[in-house]
Amino acid sequence: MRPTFLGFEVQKRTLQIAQKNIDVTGNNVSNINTPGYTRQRVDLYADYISSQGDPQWTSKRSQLGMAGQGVNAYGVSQIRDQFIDKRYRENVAVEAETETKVGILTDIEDILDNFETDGLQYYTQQFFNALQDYSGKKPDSKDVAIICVNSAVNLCQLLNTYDTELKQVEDTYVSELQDTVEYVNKLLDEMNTLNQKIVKEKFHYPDEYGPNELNDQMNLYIDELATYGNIEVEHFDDGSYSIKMGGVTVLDGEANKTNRLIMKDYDNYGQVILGFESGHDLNLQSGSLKAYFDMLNGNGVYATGHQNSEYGIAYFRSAINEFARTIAKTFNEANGADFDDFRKMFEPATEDALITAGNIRVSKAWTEDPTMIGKVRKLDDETGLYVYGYDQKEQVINGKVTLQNTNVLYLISQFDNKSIKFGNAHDFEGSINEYISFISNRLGQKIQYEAGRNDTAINTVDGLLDARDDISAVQIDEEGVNMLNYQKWYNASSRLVTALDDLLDKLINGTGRVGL
Amino acid sequence: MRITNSTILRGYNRDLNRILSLKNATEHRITTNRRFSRASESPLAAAKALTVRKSLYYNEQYTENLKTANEFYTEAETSLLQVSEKMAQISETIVAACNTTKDIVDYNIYAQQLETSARELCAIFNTDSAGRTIFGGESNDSMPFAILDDSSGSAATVTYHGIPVNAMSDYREFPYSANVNLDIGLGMVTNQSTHEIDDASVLRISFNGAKVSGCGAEYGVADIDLSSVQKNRTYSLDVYAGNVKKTINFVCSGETNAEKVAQINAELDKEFAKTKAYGEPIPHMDEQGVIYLADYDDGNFTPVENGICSVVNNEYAKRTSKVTVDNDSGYTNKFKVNVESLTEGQTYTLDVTVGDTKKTISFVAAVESDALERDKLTIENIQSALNEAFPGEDVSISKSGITKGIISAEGKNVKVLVHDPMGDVARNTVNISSTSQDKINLKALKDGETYKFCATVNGKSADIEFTAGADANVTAANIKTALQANTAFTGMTFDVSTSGDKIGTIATGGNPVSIAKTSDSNSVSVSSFPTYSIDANSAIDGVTYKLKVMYGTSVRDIEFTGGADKDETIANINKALENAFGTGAPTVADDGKITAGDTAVVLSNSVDTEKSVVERERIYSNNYIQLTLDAARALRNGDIGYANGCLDRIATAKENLLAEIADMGCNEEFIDFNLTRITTRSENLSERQNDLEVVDAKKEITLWKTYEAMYNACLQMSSSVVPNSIFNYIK
Repeated sequence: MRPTFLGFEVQKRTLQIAQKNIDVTGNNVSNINTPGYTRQRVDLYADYISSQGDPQWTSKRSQLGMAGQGVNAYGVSQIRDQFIDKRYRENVAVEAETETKVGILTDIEDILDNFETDGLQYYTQQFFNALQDYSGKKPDSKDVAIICVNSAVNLCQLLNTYDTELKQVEDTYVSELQDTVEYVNKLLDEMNTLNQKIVKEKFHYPDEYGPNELNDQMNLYIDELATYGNIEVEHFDDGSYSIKMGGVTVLDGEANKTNRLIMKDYDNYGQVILGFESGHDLNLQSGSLKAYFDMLNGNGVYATGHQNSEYGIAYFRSAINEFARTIAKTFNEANGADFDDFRKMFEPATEDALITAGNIRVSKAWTEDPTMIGKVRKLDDETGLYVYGYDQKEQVINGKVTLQNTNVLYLISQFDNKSIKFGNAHDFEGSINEYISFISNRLGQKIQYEAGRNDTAINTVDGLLDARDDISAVQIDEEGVNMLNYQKWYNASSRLVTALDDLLDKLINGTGRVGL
Repeated sequence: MRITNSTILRGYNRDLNRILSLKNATEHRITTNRRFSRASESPLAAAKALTVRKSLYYNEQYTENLKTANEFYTEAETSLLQVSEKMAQISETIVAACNTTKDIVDYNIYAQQLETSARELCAIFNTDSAGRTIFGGESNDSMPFAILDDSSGSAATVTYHGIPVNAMSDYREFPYSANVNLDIGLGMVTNQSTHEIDDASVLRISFNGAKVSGCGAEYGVADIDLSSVQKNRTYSLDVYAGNVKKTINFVCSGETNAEKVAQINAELDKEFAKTKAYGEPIPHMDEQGVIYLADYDDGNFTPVENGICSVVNNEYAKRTSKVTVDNDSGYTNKFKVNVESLTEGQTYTLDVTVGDTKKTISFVAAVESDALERDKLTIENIQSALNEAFPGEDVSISKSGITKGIISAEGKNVKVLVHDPMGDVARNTVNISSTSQDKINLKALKDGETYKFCATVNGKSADIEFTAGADANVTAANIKTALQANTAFTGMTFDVSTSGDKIGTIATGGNPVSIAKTSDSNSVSVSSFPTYSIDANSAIDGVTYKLKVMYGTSVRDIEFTGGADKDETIANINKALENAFGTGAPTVADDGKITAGDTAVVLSNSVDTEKSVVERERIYSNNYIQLTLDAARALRNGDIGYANGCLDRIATAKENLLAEIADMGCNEEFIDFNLTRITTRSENLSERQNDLEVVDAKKEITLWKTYEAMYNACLQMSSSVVPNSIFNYIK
């Protein structure tokens, strides 16, 4: 038996649901420009009635009276693709990593430039030219010898400047890293709070429809977190999210807690030491945190402790230090400093220190006696030691000078020495000029490589953003069409109510009255 | 695909930004004119560019170096050409002096000219190029060459870096003799342990003055005045011996000459111990204070032939006294009595000039079976003769060592000559006299012509006129008739020779008739036929003599021994002549005349210089400047022979000089070649650098235009980027 007002009830619900659909369409249009907003839909279904126990479908003859229950809705859902989200987050990590790396490396390259500004090659060449000019002049020509000293001073000052500027770059990025770490921790805190909120909401409404707006917020946070490192996301039934960064849980949705990043004082260790509250080390495959880590800790063959073999600021500082040290060693040795300290051409600014790009300077002995390098090496028959003088023994006594330039020529020959070893781990073996090219090439190629990766990542990320929009973004025409549709739907339902009303009117007021 | 507004806007922004950044990059390349500003923009091109830049820098420097070398070589060559000219001039001066002058005043003028030339040569060799002395080897001494004056104030010794050029024959042993080199990009090769540079890999920019101007002498000793070595004084001497230099330092402890000599020899032994150990000759001082190069054998020192020894005071040693040294290399005018060649028991007479005093001394060569003892006794005889002749003056003859037989007087010139003219006691010459017989050149007369000559017989002279006949016999008969017909010679019979060398001679009664030209135009030409005589009495019994005999066209040296008397001597000579010439040999008559029919015989003593009693030490230097100075000194002494000797050596030296100039020319060509090579390479490199680094303007500007147009187009699009939607049309 059909209940009398069944139709009214059905159309009442239809009107309500049509109205809700228009509401959600309006919501979509409203949020068309809201970051992180995912388009929503009312999930409709055709209502039905079932008795307890055995199913009694309304399509069955005995249940026919209950057929035509109309429309109903499960809830308002979001349209997202978890797979696209995952890929997006993987690639955005690479994009952020490579972008940061290119930025830092470009800063290094601006300092070590050989092309637009006079760099290492130019000043090394100036030193070579000065020695060559001196070799063709009288060895006691102080005026020409001073040019040698000055060109060496310029070279040293360039190295000192390189060191200072690279140190400045290092300092800048260390403090950027510290800020980033703090920011990530703050982000994790906020995500944790949001997690709690979501769980609470879900607790009151434990079905598959979650708090859409909170989920959107959470997804925004996750997207942002993904730029700092490679993450894995897990979404639990209670609505909470757990996130692992580099394999370590940083946000625990079930336990409702965060695992904060900890960075040890850089100045104490001279390198980046990054880990978690839990004691785990940070070990990332991508993300800007990895970029900072690699660029600050990448020390190539010179890596120690937490450093790695990337070519970062540390490596290029080491390379410049090695250049300074090797230049000093090569020329000091060639000039006989092994036997006599006063034959040193280069020395550290503070005595007994290891020579670095920061402290290399032209030796006091050479500055005070520019023609020192013009003195010729001879083997003293009596002592068996090498002595330097302008000439044979008696001329040394007399202070007479020869035109002999063997020592200067020997110094010059060091520029063509192809077996100079640079670096304690023998990073490179070749000539001075080849080493300069080597550093320049290594840096140039590294930048090109990272920039190439960055381009690829940007393209992929763009593609994925488009794909994500394809699924989740609001398409205004689509919403307009929906609006028109829902409006007509609503109109139709209203007309049905009028029809039902006419039916009842006929039944109540017209039935049994004949001839009126 | 659902296109949403966010997709469209993101894409639009991205593309707009991409075009803008491309446009900006092009603008930057155009304004900087560089293909890339950072290595990372184009790592491969940057790597190549760095290499190209390095090569360009290097080439620029090598070009500079080559230019320096070029200037240096050009100046060196110019200098040597000047030297060559100067030497031609010196040769001319010497030739002129030797050939045209006989007067000592003129000699002095020439000597002065030579001395000036030598100083000019010295100045040329001291030339510098931009502050570098060209011929100073590796020294920057502005005056590597210097001329030291002797005690009389004439230029005497040429030094190179303070060392007499004659002191060493190996130019490499002079100081500063290593090469100075320049890197001209040949790929300098160095020895990492010794720091030595391979000469083949660099360009030499120094010249060893000792090599270019010649060094060393044929022979040389250092004569130290022992009286200048005083007890308790400190001395420092640089001793050059056999191309080895050592410095001896000592405080004189001896009083007597023998003690001083012993001390100096001990010092020499000590310093030259290494040389001695190698079995090389070492310097040794003889009792006269002369240091010579000697072979050492078990306590005996034998002078080394052609050995050179030189001593100079070490000028760098402080607070030392100086000794007086005369380095007798180069021109020396010492006279030496060849004691070893004297004949036992023979009396010899010498003219000895000390300073301005000339004395004649006589001495007897001692008789003694032991040769050394004999020499010693003879020297003692000479010394006592000298003492007698020059009382109170320290004139001495050296007793042993290399100077044995040299007569010297400290501070004075000594000249020794065999006493002349009559008492030529040289034991190996016989007196030879010659007479000559005049002859008419019959063969030069024309048949039928009338000729005149003046004949003199026994103080009577007469002009004779005759007519030449068809042959010599006819002419001779005509002359004979004319003579006998002359009133001045009435009753005399004349013979006119018609064959052999004697043809045209006239004799009367065996005596030659002297013939002379007349002042008439038809006078005959007169020549002479010589007749030589040997003074057989002048030959000493038992002594061997040597004669040079020219007979016809053949020349023979004959050797004969003086006989007990004149006849025996003549017999010995005849025997020797027969041995030398065979049958028909010239013979010596009792009166000593040597004849061979009508053929002329010419005689002369063949002087064996080695056996000459008095010898003069003549040493030639290998150095041009020193040779010039030596020639000057020889001229002052009137020693033409020595000056001529210098001439030969200057000619040889000039060849060396030309070789040196040619060598320089080769090097200059090499420099030119390298300059061209490097310039070409630099041009190629610059082109390559342009390709790598400089913007291709056409391409970039086209690109920029394109980007600008694209960017503008994008901007124009902006108003319709956000599309109309269905909402614009819903009513």
